[in-house]
Amino acid sequence: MANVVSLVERLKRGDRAAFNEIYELHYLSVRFYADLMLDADDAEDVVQDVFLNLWLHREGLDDTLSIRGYLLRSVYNSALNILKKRKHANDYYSSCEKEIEEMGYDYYDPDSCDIIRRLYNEDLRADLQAAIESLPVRCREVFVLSYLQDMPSKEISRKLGISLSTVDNHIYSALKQLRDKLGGYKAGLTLLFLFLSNGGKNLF
Amino acid sequence: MDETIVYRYLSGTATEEEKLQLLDWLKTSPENKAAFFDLKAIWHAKHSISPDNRTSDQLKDSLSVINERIDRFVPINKKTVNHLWKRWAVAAAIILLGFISISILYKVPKVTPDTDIVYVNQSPDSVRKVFLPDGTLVWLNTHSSLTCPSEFTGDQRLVELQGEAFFEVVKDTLHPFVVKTKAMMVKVVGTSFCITTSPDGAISKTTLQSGSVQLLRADGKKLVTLKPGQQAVCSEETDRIEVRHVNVDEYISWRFDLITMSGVKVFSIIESIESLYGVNIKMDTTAIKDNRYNFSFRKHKGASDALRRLSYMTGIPVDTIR
Repeated sequence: MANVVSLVERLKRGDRAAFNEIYELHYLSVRFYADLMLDADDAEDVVQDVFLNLWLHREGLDDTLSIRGYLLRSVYNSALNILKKRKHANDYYSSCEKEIEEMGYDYYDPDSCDIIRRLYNEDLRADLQAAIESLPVRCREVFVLSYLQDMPSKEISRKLGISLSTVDNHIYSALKQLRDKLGGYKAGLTLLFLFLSNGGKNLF
Repeated sequence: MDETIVYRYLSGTATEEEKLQLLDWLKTSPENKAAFFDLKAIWHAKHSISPDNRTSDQLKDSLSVINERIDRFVPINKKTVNHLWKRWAVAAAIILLGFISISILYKVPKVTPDTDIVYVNQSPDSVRKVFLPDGTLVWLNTHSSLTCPSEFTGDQRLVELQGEAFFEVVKDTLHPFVVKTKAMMVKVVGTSFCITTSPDGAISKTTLQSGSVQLLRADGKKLVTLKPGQQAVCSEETDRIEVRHVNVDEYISWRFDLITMSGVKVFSIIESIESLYGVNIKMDTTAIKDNRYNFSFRKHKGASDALRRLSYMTGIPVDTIR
């Protein structure tokens, strides 16, 4: 990727325009990732600090650096620091919710979490959109109302004339299907592995 | 466990009982944990798949702030040294003058200056409504401040804004209403519009809902006149302004995202949240049933956030039931 390498080279030489280009390429994805773990103010501060550090330490950057990976990793580490410090501060959440959220912190490591890599490292948002389009009709109809329009289940059930539990089932099923579609790489690999380990024999 | 609890947790309508079930289920196996947090990440991604003007504005604002921070690190090179010297000389002269004028002040009886009122909204999540001396209504967004005189005297009604506010200006053709920000001034007769300034003040954005406004540079030079549905972005450094057509509601609906209730009893609050989100709330209100509260919350933050705030405010646990 000749373009990307020269961007880093230009950055190393102190080219501010190159920095701005890098910012425009990566800011939104990195910021959305930060929003997953932190509130808006903290997320913005962390993302800015990470980019600032990128600029300040530009001369020591490796030419083959994957900028997106570096940014996500830095954001992750900063977020963990903040979350660990705040562990006892937030009284708003029930302790049960706190425990659930805390379990996620180590899961969202961008170097080891597939879904994070697919959503934020590889910018699969277009794939996410396509995956939603390919959901079964009724399921998609319900899901889109909830997912894209923030409509509460009760309202969806009233609007479409279906039971509340049907609404919940459709939405949950949609989420699982999206997870499968986005994890396609892994699923495909698993299938391949199974196929090969069968000695290439017919699986079915 | 009924797995649709996952969805209810993500949308903020799970009961405490369901949350406990979820927690146990998560602890049962790493597959459950992975499945849940994958779904949570996908759920969270919904905000990123509909990029709109707000996200490109967010990028632009953030970019300008980071550049300002970097500029503070730029080392001084030979070229700027001469200018610096001049700047120091000027600064020294001003300080000297400052000392002189202060010493004069102490000798002359002080005339009471006009008092300026500063309206500040420091709260992180509520909008402040302010009526100015002429009846103009200002919706002051979070982290914003508006300075205005206690009475409008003179040819213009002049106020100063830092942050974001929506103005509904009372018509007075003889006394134009002028909003001054770091980057520019907005002059109106009677009109509804919204002004946003970037955190460092260098960039101002004006969105016009109705009426007509004139944008001026800080020194009074006319820049552009806006029509309803137009938005102008001005930068302090350049004379260049970008004018474009926007969906005005996108930029001003923040006024109504806030639900505010004053002097209400807890059952009114519960009723509002229940009907807004379609949830059933369980709360032991016997001890507080006659208390009156001022309560506000942001609609888009969801039921669980509103309930958390209610619980925190009253000191009583709140739960949802099916």
